[in-house]
Order: sequence, then C-alpha cells, then structure tokens
Amino acid sequence: MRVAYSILRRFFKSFDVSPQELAILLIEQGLVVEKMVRVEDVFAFPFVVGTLEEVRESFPYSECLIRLKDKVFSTRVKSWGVPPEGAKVLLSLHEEVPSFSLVAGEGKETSEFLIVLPDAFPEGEDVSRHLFGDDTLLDLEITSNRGDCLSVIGVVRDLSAKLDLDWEWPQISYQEVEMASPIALQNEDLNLCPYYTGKFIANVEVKPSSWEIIKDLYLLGLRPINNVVDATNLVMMETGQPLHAFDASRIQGNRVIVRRARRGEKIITIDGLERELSPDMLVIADGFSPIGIAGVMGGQNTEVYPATREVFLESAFFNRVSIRRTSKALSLRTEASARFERGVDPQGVRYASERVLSLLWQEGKVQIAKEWSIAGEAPHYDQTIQVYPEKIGEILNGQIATEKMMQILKRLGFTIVSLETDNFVVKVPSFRADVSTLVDVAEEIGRINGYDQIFPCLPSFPFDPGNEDKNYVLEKRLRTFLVARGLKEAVTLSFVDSKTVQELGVQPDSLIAVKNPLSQDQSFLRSQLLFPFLGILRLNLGRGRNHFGLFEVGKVFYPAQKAGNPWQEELRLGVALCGNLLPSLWQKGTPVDFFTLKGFTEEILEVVGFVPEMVQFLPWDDRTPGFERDAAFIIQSPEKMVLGWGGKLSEKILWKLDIRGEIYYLELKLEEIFTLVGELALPIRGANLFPAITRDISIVVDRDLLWATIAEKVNEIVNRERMAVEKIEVFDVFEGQPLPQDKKGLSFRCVFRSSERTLNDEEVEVWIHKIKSEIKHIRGVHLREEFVSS
Amino acid sequence: MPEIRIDVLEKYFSDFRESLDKVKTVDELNRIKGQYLGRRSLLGEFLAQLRQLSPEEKKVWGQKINEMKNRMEEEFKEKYEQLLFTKRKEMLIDVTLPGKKQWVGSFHPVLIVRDQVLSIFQSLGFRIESGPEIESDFYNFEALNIPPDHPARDDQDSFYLSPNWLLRTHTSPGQIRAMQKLTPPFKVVVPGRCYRRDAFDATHSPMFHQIEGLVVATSISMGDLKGTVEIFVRRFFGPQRKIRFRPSYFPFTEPSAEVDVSCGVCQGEGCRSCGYTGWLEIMGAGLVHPQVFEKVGYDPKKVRGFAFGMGIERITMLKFGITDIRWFLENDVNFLEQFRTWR
Repeated sequence: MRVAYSILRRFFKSFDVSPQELAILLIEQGLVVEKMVRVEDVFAFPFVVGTLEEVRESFPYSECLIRLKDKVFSTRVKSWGVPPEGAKVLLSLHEEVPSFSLVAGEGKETSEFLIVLPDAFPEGEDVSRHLFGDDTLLDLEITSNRGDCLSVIGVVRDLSAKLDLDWEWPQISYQEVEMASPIALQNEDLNLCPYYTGKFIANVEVKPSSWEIIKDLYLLGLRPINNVVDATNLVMMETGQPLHAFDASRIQGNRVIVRRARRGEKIITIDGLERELSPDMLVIADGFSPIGIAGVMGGQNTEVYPATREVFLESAFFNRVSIRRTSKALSLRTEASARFERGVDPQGVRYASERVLSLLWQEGKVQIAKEWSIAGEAPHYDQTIQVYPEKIGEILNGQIATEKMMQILKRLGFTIVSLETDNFVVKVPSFRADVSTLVDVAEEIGRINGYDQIFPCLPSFPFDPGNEDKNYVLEKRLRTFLVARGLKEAVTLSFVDSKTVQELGVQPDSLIAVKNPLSQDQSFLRSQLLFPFLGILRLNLGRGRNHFGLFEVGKVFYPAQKAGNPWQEELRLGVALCGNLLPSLWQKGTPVDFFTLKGFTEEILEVVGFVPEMVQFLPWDDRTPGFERDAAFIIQSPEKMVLGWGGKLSEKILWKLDIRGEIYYLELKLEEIFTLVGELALPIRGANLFPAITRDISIVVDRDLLWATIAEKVNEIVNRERMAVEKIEVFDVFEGQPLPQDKKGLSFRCVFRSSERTLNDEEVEVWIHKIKSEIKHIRGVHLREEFVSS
Repeated sequence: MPEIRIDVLEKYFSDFRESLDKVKTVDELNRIKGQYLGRRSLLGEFLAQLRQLSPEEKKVWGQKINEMKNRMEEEFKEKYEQLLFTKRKEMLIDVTLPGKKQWVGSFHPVLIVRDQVLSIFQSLGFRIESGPEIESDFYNFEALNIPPDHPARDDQDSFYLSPNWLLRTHTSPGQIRAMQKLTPPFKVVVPGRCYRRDAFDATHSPMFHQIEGLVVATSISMGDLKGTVEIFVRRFFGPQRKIRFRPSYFPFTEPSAEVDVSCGVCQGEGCRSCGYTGWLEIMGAGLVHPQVFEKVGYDPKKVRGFAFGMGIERITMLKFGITDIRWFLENDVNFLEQFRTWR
C-alpha cells in the first residue's frame, strides 16, 4: 500500500511531522514502511507546460502539435483524450526529448490522453516543484489482519491515535434527480454477497480526469484511465472499499444479477483475457452473460469507455473467503480482491459510493438517480469487549492510565459504551473485525502507546528442564567426533530430482512425491541421504576439490502407514570420503579406500557405545543400490536389523551423474543405532597389569570364505572354553604362490591375558591347540602347517 | 673355584673395565654383562661362597663384593647410555617444509549458530524439544489459529504431500507439541528444518532452519518476552547491541511483535547493510493467542505464555557477514573449511 506524505497531511488540521518522523511513527505502530521514496525519484521530472497549438484528426489517433516556447513537438494521442486547441498541457522534458508519461522510465510512443493544466500556468516553465512540492512516498507493508489500513483513511485513523490529533472525513456533496433507474437488481446469493448497492448515473461525459485526481492517483501508485474509472479507483484507495462502474447502456436486458457462475461460463475481463468460470465463483451478470467477476475484475463487455453516457455504480460487500478462492483459482489478484479478502468495512459500502458520486458531481452535468438499487443489507457488527485496565497493564508490563487507554481506543474508532471502577466496555468498529478479545485490545493500546514502553523483566518460576534427550546427546557426540576426525559437516536439500533416483534404480513409488514442487529438481523427498550427497559431490569435484570428507546428520522420508501418519521420517548419518587422507603433495599420501571407510564406520559405532559383537558386516546384497557389488557392506545387528550400509560408489552410476572421482560412502540408520545402545554403560575396571601371551595361527581357506566365519567360530570356542582371550586380530591376508588360485591364507594373532593372574605357557598351548583343532573342521579351512598344495 | 681374596676381586674388576673399553655394540655389551654380572659369572660364585664364611668374614667380604658389584653396574649403565646415544646419527631436517597435515574438520555454519542459540537458551533454563518435518495441517496451521482460507497462509506458501500433509513451514507446530507433552509452567526451545515454496535467490531458500521458543506459566507478560530476548541478543550478537520491539501480526500470538536488533556494522546509524534503517529484523514473537491455548486444551484464563521464532540462516548471515543464503546448501568444502575455528 503506497501513501503520499502530502495526501496524509491533508486530512489533519495541523500536522508538523516530517516524512522521516512519520516513517518512524508508522513503524512504531506496526505499519511497516518498506520503502521511502522522494517524488523526484519516481516521476519523470522536470515537468514543463506546453500549449496545444494544433490538432490534426485521424481516428482513432490525432496528431497533436505542442508548442514549447520556440519549439514545436508532435505526438499521437487517442482522439477522445485531446483537449481543445490552445489548452495548457503537461509534458516532461529530458535532454530536449519530450515525453507524456509521468512516471520515470515509462516512455510511450502514443498517449491515451493529454494532461490538461489550468490556463494560468506559464508556457515553458518547469512546474515540477510547483505541482508536486517536496513530497515523499511511503510503501507500507500491511499485515493480513489490517484490511482497514489498505486505505488512506485507515492509515490516517491509525496515525491520529498515535499523534492524538483530530482529522476530517472527505466531504460528501452531490445532488440527485427524480429519475427512475432502468436497471433491475437481483441478488441470488446473499451468502456470497450479503450486501449490494447500485446507483444509476446519466448524462456522463467520459473524459480525462482533472489534474488533481490524476496527481493523487499517480502518488498512490495507480494510473489514470478516465474520469469515471479514476473516481472509483481513487475512492477505493481513500476508503478501502472497491467499486466498479458499468456502462449501463451495455447491460443487456437492463438487469444486474448477482449469482454464481454457470458451469463452463466464460468472461473476457477488462485486461483483455478470457477466463473460464466455475459455479463456486460469484459473478455480476446481466440478462445474458457475466459482466464482471464479483470483487475481482469487471468485464470488457460493460467497461466504461469514451462513448459511455450512462453508468451503473456498484459498491458491495462480498464474502471474503469466496473472493479469495476465486482470485486464487483464476490467479488473478487485483487491488479489489486484495481488499475484499482481507475484509472491507460493511458499514462503509454506502459512504464509498457517495464519495464517487461527489467526485463525479463536481464535474457538473451528471444526473444521479435518487433511487438506490439495493439487495441484502449491510451486516451488523456489534462486538463489544469488556476491558480491564489492570489486565492490560499486566500483559504489557507497564503503567498506562485508564484515561489514556480510552483515548487511544476512541481515536482508533472504538466507542466507549460504559465505564465502571475496574473496567470499561468498548464497542468495536465494523472495520476492525480483527479485534474481538481483551488481548486484541491490549495490542491496540500497546502499539499506540509504544512497545518501547514495555518494561523488560524475566520469567521466574520453578521448572527443571531435565537432561538433554539421549538421541540429542548421541547426535552431538557423533558430529563432534566426525569433525575432530577431519570431516566437514554438510547441510543438504531434503529434495531430490527424478533423474538421480532413476539412475540409482530406485522405484519412484518408494519415495514421497511433492504435490507442488518448485521445479523438477525438487519433485521428491529424499529417502536416502545419498541422493543429495551426489549433488554436493558433483559440485565439489567439479570445482577441483579432490580430498575431503563430508557428513550430514539429517532426516530421510518414505511412505509407510504408522499411527495414522502415512509418511515416515527417520534420522540418518551420511558420510562421503574422497581423495587422500594426507593430501600434501610432497609426502606419499594415503588414498581413501574401502578399509578407510570401514575403519570410520567401526570408530563411529564405538563412539556411540557399540562393542564389536553388537554388529555384523555382511557383503553387499542389492538392498541399497548405487555401490560397486564387490566393495560394499551391510551392517546388521545380531537380531538381523539393518543398521546401515557403505562402500565404494558405483563408478558407472557416478559417471552417468557426471561425478568424476572415486568415492566411498556410508549411510547409518541413527534411530535404530541409538535404540540399540540404550542406556548401557560398560563396567569400568582398573587397568590390567598382568602380562599377555600372544600366539599366531595361520590357516589356508577357500578364497570366498569370509574372515567373519573364522572369527565367529573362534569367539564361540573362546567363550565356551572360558579362555582368557583379550583380542583376536588378523594381521595378514595373502593370495598367490605358493597357494593355489582358489585359496587364500589368513594369519591372525590371539592375545591371551587374564585379569586375575599371570598365565603360563602350558595352559595357553592347550587353548591354542583347542582352537586349531576345531577351526580346521570348518569346511574349506586348513591349518597352514597341515596344508599340502596339490 | 678361586678363593675370595682382595687381589682376585681387583683383577676381576679391572678385567671387566678392560673388556668394557673394547665394547663397540650393545650386543657385545650385553655379552660382557652376562660374563661378569650374570648368574653364572664368577661374581655369582663369590656370592655363593659367602655363605660358607663366618658371620664376621661374611659381613666384611659381603660389603666389599657388593660395593664392587654396584660400581660394575654403574660402569655398565654408563657404557650402555654412551653406546645408545652415539648410535643416533643426526639427520638433516628442513623444518620449513610442510608437515604431514591431515584433514581439518568443521561444523556447518548454520548448525554452529543453531547450537550456540540452543546453548544460550539452555543456560536460561529452557528445555530442548523436537518435532517432525512432515506435519499435518492441524499442527502447522489449524492449531495455530490459521484456519483454511486465512490470508496468513499466503505468507507461508507450502509444499504439500497430500491435502492434509505438508512440510512444516515453521517450527511453530513445536509449540503445540510441547504444550501437549508438558505441563505448565515450562520453557522450551524447538529447533528444526522448515520449508516454504520460495525459489532460490540470495536471501530465499525453499529449505531453512528455525528455532522456536515457548514459555508458558500463570502470568507471563510482554515484559518477560522482552527481557528474555534482550539477554539472548546481548549474548549472541554482543553486549553493545540494542533491540527494538515493533507491533506486527501473527495469527498465533496476540499481542505480536517483530524484533529488530541494532545494526552491527553502523551501530544503528544507518548503512547499506541495514538498508539505512539502523535496524535488522531477527525474529517474530508475542504472547500466545488464547485460541491456541484452547486448541490444546489449556485454559487461557489460567495460563499465559510467550513464543518467538527466528530464522537461523538469517542470523548466521548477520553473524558472519554472509551475503548469499545459497552458499549454505552448496556445501563447497572451500566455503565450509572457513568455519574450522567455530564450534
């Protein structure tokens, strides 16, 4: 909503606030000033006065010769907008080039009309300052509860409370004639249109508006059209009540019907576009077809144009929800619909109409029918609120005198109905439907009295915030660990594009689709952190960042019905490693490989409290696409719950997605993992001071036999025989000569140590023998010393 | 077996010294040690013979032998250290060459700020709560006094998953969940990701983070809100920063306020970064609307509360002087590594 300093000031008798002070006052009372502009920055100054010397008619345009001292300019103007020869007209002049557009940077070849100035203006003079003064324009951002402030009067009223100043309503002054309106009004939907008024005006002469009206429209950010339309627009800006003028002679069948649109009905609106209507939209129709979309935009078929002689002036109160829906459905937001959907003043419908009549009557000639066409009645509004000043003081934490509270409310249009010792009752004005309870009144008093008068203090009451949530603590520990290990934390978009999903071979129906995505890139929600990670990997590698580790803790989403919610979300950790862990050029580095990633995985699990027996690493099994088959793993709990997966990302898929690099990626299901660690804490013991005895065992096994098979068996023996084993650790894996091709060698070290005594060699020998004698019975396993290559 | 005599002992000691002098390696040294000081050495035998002597003789000779043994062990230790440290050859190290530097990690700037904000409120006694990113219309709008067709819905253009489910447009549903879970009085903060249908530009992103605060007790005032926010602003932005409350509108608070902080660049004088106003908008706040209390079954006559919500990206940009919100989601490691000193 744009207002001009000069226009606001006009309403007050005395007004000694500068534009800068005004802006601050408006902000303090909740009318945000988005922008302050000086007139010279908006208008195509300098404006000069020319004389229309000669008109050469050639319908529909006329060639106008305009004299400016010793020069004569020529311009093409629509014929209806050409004043008589000799008139003083306004033009802007820039480096000897004249323009008839008032707004800076809006040059046009032809003009709708010439702007006529009073004859007293001397030709050739720069009248910019004289016409516009030293004005400032303020763009206000009006919050959606303050429909009343989408009008100059609304802003003036609010300002009058802040300044505690009287102001005056614009005058109503016109005369009516005894004349029957030929238009019959019929309202078929009192629900969507509770109140409709029409006024018939005859003997209308459509012409350019007077300079005063043109100037005000420009200052308020509108463009002049003709005197009739300008009057309705100006009054809308003034009062907040949208109005519409129909060319009465073009209303078919002399009937105006307020009704819902019929299925398939169409209308060409005044912007020249054809729009298809639906039965939930309210239209204004004549005997044959719609002539306007109620509260949104008029139809071209009844638009006021230069030949119009009779006007039917509409001022109505429409259902705000209906207007909002219609405007949304048609993607057609207008000054009118913006006001209706925020709620106009039901008691202001008639006043606005009378203001238009006053403006038109001032031009002389028009004949206004005495009879009003009225359908429905203005909704009554009689909300009252009992106000307890003590409560208001409590809410605002400040002392405000009851007198002052009442004065503020009166200035805002409230009426004091009664006054008791500890309370008073106010009647809420019809234009403030947003105020209905005591707290609303508190806000009104607070914002006018000034929020700077709120005395700061602190809430004080007994409340134990409790410990941090376990998952929150674990997540923090995990993030801290990963950063300490040199990884950078990422935050990626929760959306994913369909291309990535398809390349990964993920079924789109396993994802949640966004019904109204901003773009195709963001049409699904990620069901794996991997999806957005691919994007940031492409970006980093594309920019030549070759050595890095990135991680993200975030939610993934997938469809699954659970407790009445069809969509599930789950916390995950994603880790991507790439390049070299020691990236200096002159030292031999350590490239990230499969076992780097696995080491990270094990460390992460240990950090959140896992012991090795709590997880199993299994070879990759198609459940998670995107990895190289031979270099990926699934992590599983002993209860066969999948806790995560990781490995080398598929080179082929990365290539297709335009990602050039070798990347190792891990994704962990944090919620499952956090559940498993529970509150469990390992018992803490003193350090073990007894010596250890170590023995190595070498075996030869089938190539595809997993180390886990051996490790599980050894663990089983150790537990069963209650051996004092501290650690079983692989230290060599070898293939090739002298072993046959289908075999591999595995060597592992058993570290024996008791926490109670010093072990002796003899008992350890017995244990080693036991282990050896049992593992050699596993299919495909031979002790190295017994293996005979055949 | 030699008899214990003074000359025998002296000879034994001088032989030991002579052998030590010839020693060149640690291995040789250890052999000499075994020969002269080991269990089967002559010294061991001397000690064995002591047992057969009379108590007086035992005392005299025992002392002598022990003295000799101690001196031998000392000499041995000296020789050992000598050998050990002459073995190390000095290297030529160019100390100006770069070290073997491993990766240096960093937290994400938005989460650094989120965690800072959370810890400030935790120190003020707030409890941390969380909520889902996919919300129902009820939690995201309805319960917050934003019925269907409310114009305020326009300010929060949403991503819908189905007619009733959407990605939350703010963390305010966290207020509803906290009230359903806890019993007043309480103080909570709810951080989280939010989504709005805003196309990417320098200051807009379809995904961003917010922190919501909610305090509910028997008599909370705008003063409590102001005091709390003032402490937060001073601790987060610095002690010299000022705040300004100005009236605003949110359907779920009444009275409502927009909170501005004085510009850190110009200290409120007005400059380019604050649009020449001297103030920067940082949060929306207000007293909890009675309608919202009613939606969760609280009696608005018995409790009052304040709530606030702020965008984390916004204050992160202010804190670090970041000019483009898109950098946060790009995750260029070259950008991220600048935050290695922050936690």
